[in-house]
Amino acid sequence: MTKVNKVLLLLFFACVVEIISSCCDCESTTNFRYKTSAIEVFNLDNGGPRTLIRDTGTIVKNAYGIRLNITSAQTASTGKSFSFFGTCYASSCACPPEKQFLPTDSIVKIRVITLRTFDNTHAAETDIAAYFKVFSNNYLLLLPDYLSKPADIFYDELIHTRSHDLLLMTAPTVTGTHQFRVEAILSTGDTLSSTTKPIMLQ
Amino acid sequence: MMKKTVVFLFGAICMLQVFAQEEKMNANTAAKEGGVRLSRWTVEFGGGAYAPLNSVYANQVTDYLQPFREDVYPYFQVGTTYFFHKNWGAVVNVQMLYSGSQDERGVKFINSVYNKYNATYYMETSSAIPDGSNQEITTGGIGIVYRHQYKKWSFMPKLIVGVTGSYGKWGKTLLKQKGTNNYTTVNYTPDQTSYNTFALIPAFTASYRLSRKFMLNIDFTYNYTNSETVIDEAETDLNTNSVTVAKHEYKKPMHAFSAGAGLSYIFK
Repeated sequence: MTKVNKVLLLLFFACVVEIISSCCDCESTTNFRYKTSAIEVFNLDNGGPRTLIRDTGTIVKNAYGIRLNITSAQTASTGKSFSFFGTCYASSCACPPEKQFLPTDSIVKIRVITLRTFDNTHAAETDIAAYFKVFSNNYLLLLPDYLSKPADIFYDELIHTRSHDLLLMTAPTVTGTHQFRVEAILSTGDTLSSTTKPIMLQ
Repeated sequence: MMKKTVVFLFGAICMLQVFAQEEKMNANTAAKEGGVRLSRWTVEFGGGAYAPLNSVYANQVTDYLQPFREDVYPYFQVGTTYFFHKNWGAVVNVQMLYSGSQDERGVKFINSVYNKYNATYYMETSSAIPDGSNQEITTGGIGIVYRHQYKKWSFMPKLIVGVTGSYGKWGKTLLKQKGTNNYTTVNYTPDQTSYNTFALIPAFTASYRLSRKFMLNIDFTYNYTNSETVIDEAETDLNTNSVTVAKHEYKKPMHAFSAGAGLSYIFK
């Protein structure tokens, strides 16, 4: 065997050892599905250093918001992912998550119905969702923009309840007691709704 | 005319050559005859304290994001000197200022933001982001040195010209107006990633010969440079997305005095 062949054989052997040692023993990811099962809303007082849920008393109308809690429920397992290739990452021995929770639906629209007269153009039972913005990651987003984000995929554990703060950016001209019904329209056509407790805005 | 110029230049070059040869011989002779060993090429390391003589602070919220400070801080320097004549040499020197804890400056910045907005806003988050380095000001230069040699001591006034490189920091804060749903972000950004300005550095070094290869140096340096930092303050109303930008300029001649000690290694 020539010297060149010996060197090549040595390099080949080193390469095989590297490949064997880099192969990880990872479990395949099990996929689960979840659906939006309920929503719940609360009055928010955003006038102080922190947002507070407030069911009684008075909230400054310029600092009013609605806390929207969206509850999800697991529906079924869709089995393990199948791949001809190993499930471990190419560049490290970290394994992908064992569980993955994928949404079966999404919220396509949110309506905020005022149950009392809000201003001259919005009487009771009209939609004032355009007056609200969602505060998220240091941005204030209109509801359609916020809902246009892809639905959440969870890894390892399903987060059952997620909170979103809808802040009222245009204060009512009519002060007094106000109450709002929030309706979430799902991609499946279903509508989930919840109503805030009456609160005094001034 | 052309011929005269060529003859003149040739003569001048020849004279310089003769002068240089003579000086070299003189240096060698002095080294051997006078019992004083004259170094020709040395490398110096040292450090000390750098004291700004004036302040660039403008009582603005961005004062702690620009690199020049008011207080004394340590420096480290490295350089080399080559003597082409028994008395005269060329020096190359780099001085790095260690600006200390970034956290301390970050806290001062956050406090100044708090003081500015506290009456109207709640400060949700605020941070000063370091560039990952504690070395914010570096001065490098080349110059000329004159050496007056005694048996063990040598005294060397120097004049160095060069460039001071400095870096501004960036910061950001999220403000919530009290009693409202109005949020504002404020981003503070230097208008350049680095600032390179002219530096003039008269210096004086006293060296004591410790051994055949090492000298102990005591350095005194005056630094003149210009601060050119501009920090942009951009306020964004998150509801309307309207942005207002204010510029905070720190353009000023900067003077400093430094004193330190170090060692020279004699190559030749």
